[in-house]
Amino acid sequence: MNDIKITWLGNLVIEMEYIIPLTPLLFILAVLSSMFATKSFMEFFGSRGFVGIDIFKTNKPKIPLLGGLSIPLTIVIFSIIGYLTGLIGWKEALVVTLVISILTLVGLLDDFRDVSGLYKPVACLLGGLPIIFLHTYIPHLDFPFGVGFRISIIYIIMIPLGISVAANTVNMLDVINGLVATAGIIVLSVMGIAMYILGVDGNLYPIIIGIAALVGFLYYNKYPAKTFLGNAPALVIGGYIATLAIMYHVEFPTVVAMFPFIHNSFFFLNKIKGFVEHKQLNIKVTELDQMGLIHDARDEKAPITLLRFVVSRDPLSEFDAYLNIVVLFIFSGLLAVISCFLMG
Amino acid sequence: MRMAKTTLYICIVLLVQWVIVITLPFLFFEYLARADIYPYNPLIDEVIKAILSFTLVGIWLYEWMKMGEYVYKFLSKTRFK
Repeated sequence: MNDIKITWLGNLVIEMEYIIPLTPLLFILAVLSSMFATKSFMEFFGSRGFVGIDIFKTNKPKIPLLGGLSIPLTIVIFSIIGYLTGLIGWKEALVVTLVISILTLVGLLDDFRDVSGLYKPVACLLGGLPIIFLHTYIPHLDFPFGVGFRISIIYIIMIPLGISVAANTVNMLDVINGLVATAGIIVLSVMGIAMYILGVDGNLYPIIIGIAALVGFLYYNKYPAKTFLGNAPALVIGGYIATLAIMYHVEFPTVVAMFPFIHNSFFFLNKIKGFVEHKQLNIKVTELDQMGLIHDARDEKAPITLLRFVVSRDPLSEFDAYLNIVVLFIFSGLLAVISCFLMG
Repeated sequence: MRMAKTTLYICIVLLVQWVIVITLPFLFFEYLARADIYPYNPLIDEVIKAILSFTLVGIWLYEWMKMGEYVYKFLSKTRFK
């Protein structure tokens, strides 16, 4: 429960002397705001011809891009509201706002211009700077069985790397409708559970707002999608997860929960041997048949992405492929929760 | 929902990686991190730990790739024609 006994948000509110559960109320508002913003961005970009082809549909429909810009917008606005209502401190709100703003700008440049494959990983390193300068980290890594390492200097170097790796790792799995948003919800939920089990001194508000922003977007991005996520929002989701993992000291469970993301991106990098944009990759990883089933394209040069792996034995519909990959995230989430008990 | 057999195999791959990643820091901690470096210098200590840990992470990821490729090739051979 959160008392309304804070800030300048109206003497009327304070005088009411209610105890109103602010966080659930703001969660609902954030979901509705995210849905409204997603619809607005859909219409805005759709009417201006910013569309992408949904390659896993037999009729190849054109879908508005960048509907996912509602995610960074919702998180930033509700982080500020969280600070104004006393739910989070100014440092948390500022770090989240700055990291998300940096990653959004990095991603938008990629969305609107043809940039080299190396641009995103390098530019996303800037996302780590607010965390370093505002010192919202604990330079100590905890592992199961009571193992811990104090790494004051190396941890600072790892922060920008962690933000960039997480942001780009999430971006690389944006291949089928609703997948990244659903995976983000699962990972954030696991982080919230980890914070509770480990007794982390921090509140769940940023986790809840992140989930709310994704739920609102998922309403339009779920199969069959009416809008695509976009590079910028995908980078933001990964960067936001990494930022909260660092701020709330739940790095290890977060890495475990993100195993499917890691599996996908490292298999991609291992095969391609470099940072190459998907659109510049002249290799077919999967293909769609006339019945709408996704097949492994069986190209030796193609990376063994998670989607390709899932359909390697039997072809699947896009929705079934989505559900199978979601099962992998739920499984990883369970492993992350077990890890917390081993760390406790 | 159609549950692909491959999903079960990927879960096994992820489970193996999890076992490795919870065991490796423990082994590292017990046998490497506690080693005395004389004369003690915190910067050199951290650099050595960083080099060792990044090497271990690299080996772990390499093992993950190889295991995944092996499982993928095995599953590809058993697919329905």
